[in-house]
Amino acid sequence: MSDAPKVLIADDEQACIDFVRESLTDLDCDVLGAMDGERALHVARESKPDVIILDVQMPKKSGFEVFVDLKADDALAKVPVIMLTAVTARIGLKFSAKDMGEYTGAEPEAYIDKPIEPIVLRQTVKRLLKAAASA
Amino acid sequence: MPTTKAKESRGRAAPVDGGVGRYVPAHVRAEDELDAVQRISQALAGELDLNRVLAAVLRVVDGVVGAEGASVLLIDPDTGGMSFHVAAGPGSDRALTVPLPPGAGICGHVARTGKPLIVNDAASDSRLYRAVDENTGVRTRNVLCVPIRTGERLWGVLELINKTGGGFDPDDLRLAQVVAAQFGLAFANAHLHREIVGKERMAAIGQTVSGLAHCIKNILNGIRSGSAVIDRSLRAEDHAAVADGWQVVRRNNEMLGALVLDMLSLARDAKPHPFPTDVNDLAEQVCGLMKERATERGIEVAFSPADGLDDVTLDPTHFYRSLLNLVSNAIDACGEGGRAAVRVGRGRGRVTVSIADNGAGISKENRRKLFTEFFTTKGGRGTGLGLPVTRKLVAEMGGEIRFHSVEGRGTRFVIALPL
Repeated sequence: MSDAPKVLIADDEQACIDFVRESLTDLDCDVLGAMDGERALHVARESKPDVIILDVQMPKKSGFEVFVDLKADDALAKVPVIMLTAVTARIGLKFSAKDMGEYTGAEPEAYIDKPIEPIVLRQTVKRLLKAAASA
Repeated sequence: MPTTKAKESRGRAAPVDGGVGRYVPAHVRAEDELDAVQRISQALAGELDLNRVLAAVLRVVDGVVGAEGASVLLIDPDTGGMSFHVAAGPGSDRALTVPLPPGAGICGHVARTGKPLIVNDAASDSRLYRAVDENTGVRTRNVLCVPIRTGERLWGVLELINKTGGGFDPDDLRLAQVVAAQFGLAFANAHLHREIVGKERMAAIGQTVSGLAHCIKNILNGIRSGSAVIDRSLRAEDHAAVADGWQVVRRNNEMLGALVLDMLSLARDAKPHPFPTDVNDLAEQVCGLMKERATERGIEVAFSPADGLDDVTLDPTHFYRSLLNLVSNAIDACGEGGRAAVRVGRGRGRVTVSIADNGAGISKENRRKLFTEFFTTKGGRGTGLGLPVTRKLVAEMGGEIRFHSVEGRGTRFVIALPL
């Protein structure tokens, strides 16, 4: 099978999307970008990515809301999700990670802090792709 | 609470647990008192929620003395008046809302004179501040009031009202004074504690701000000088020199980023997010990242992975930052031609990473300061936050960090994390 694995990054900053694409170069995957929550869902439904990376704060739908919708969609519920968290997520944002687990019955597979360390992102995506491939 | 014994002497009715009209013999009363005072002492000594303890103590005192209500009133240093701070007994909630103007009431009188007072016919005493009764709906028949003081300072008063089956007597006064003395100590202690905490916090803030300012100042200097080189070189169209200037600016940008990250790591409550991680791979990547800086200075970075190590569930970002700090330190410690060795190991339910260098080692006085914020031996180039941050991150991963150093020979740091 030679379809390159697809990774969707949803973030309202183009710089971050470029950065993620740059960081994952060595993994030979197709990096798709979406700059708001609704677009992210649209791209996910159309392209069926293998890993989804969600920023929390986005226009139209937040990362949390996108996560909830993903889990409610049978076709996408099993796609592993990496949640990008910034300091604000820990201090003031409405939903905490714990709330999410209680709310949806599921939690993102991984959380990565911003600013993103490329090596950590690469490792995490690599592992999630490997786990999905062997499932 | 001890039970009463019927038919014994003294003829004084003092209810226990709300009972009315039982006779309590002198020695039982004395035991009650001693027991109560001991419990009060212990409670006040240990408890940080002073108000809760005060309320509980007041209920105890009511029980022993046989009073209907008890309260503590504190003096407001700004107005000189008093207000109910804690109160027990019927109507106590409403009493809490009634302030006493300076000098008002039997309490005000006691506060002014500094002498205790028993008024067994309060209804006809002109000093009684009637607004309190009007608010609580409780008719004050008799009052015992003692000042709460430590040395020169008068904090307020302890007041008992409406003793059942008679008036307040000298025994009651004695107990109230002992309890009031305890309260005084508790207030003085709390006051001192607040002052100390306040001072410590200010000192810590001051230290952090000055440490930060120092780092930022150094970084700014670097950026300015690099920028000056770039400006000059652009004018002279000397591209090689532009590249040199840019290196300086870039390096200082990275330091600024690292400083911010380190401050954030130290300041916030960074709950780790564990994830199954290939520790060998991550460690090797850190070494790879650092190799460029090392090679520039003729330093070798050697890496050996652990055999048969599966993914370890830990926060990869925490692990990465910890390792980055330690490897970076090791390289900085090495002189020209030195060697840094990173080795991953496993054993006894733990994964270990050891980072060793053959640099100058850590002197005895520096050892004590090693994990102190802003302590650095790198002059302007170090933020002094690497080790405190690493220690915090390692602790958050449930692990430990140790080091061993021989002056003139080198240093080894070891991180041990649970498998």
